Amino acid sequence: MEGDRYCVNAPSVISEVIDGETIVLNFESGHYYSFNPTASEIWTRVCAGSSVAAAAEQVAQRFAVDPATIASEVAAFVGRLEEERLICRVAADAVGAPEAAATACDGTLAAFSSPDFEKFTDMEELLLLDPIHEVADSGWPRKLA
Amino acid sequence: MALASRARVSVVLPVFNRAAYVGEAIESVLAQTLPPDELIVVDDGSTDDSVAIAEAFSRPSLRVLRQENAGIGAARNRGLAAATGDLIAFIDSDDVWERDKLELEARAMSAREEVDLVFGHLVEFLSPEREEELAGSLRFAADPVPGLIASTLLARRGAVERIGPFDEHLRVGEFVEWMARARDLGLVRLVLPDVVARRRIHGQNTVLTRGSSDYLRAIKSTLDRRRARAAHAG
Repeated sequence: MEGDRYCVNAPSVISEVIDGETIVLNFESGHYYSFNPTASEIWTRVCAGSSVAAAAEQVAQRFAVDPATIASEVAAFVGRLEEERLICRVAADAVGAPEAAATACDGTLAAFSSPDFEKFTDMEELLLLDPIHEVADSGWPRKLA
Repeated sequence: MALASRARVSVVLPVFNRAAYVGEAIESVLAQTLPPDELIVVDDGSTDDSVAIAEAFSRPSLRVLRQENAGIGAARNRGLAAATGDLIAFIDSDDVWERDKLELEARAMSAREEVDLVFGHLVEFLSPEREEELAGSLRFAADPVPGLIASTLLARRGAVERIGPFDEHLRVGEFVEWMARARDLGLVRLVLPDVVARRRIHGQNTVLTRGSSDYLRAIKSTLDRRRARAAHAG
């Protein structure tokens, strides 16, 4: 697990930091998510190509906590991201060097708290229908798998 | 009470460079078994023949308004501002209504006073001129699905006014954001089992220059609005 690497489940999943809040949307499920600051940091690192272990270290450094104490929490959170189909596991040699990840939040980070997201399903019917119609060049309409 | 025969129905049809399809959309509105009292075509700065095609119908119930290109939300808002009906429907310029769309939905409105928004089911179809090219490569709903899109909606004017205008900053996702407001207001929606519209898949459905990040902006603004309301209530 620690050495595993992931990428965003594109093009179904898109995300952006807006006014300091990481919003993630999965067009496959119609579900959307708001990440807390720790989750945002993990998301940014993992999606930039860091291994789970490296992400844990980076996050620990960022929040000035002991990497050993958060490693399992980070790994568990990455597992949740995979369960939600927000990220896909990739072969380690398929990714290049991790990109220099921009920090998820500007300025001072909040104190470390367990990585978590709020998941919303209330707009599922709308989101599932809408993009097929509207998007062309950037991955929609969807190609058959 | 025969609301269907008394309520005035306005239809708003925004168009931007859809000369190939807008005529069929307009025909499907004019051919309704319950014809609308007015059809407002809002041209969003088209540079093709869209306006000429719309004007060629020359029906007293059809008006064409023109504006500088400002996006579908702004075009719908322009149409809403001009609409005089008690009931409001939208149709996108590449979609096609079934002939009894307005009648079915107006009847449902009439029977259920508590309902604010009536939708129906929709089917998607490959536009005939590109059918061969697109068949097999695109996923689309050939079987009816609940159609929570603008083209299937009939809304009471009061509900539309409570929801407020479409967000003109969003080039996509504007209907999702608008419906999120409707939901948060507790408006009552009904989805008829009938197919009321056919959505055209033509492989060029609104080409995005801004990418789908407008969906994320729609979500962020919805979350912020809900939090502000919760804070206010608390």
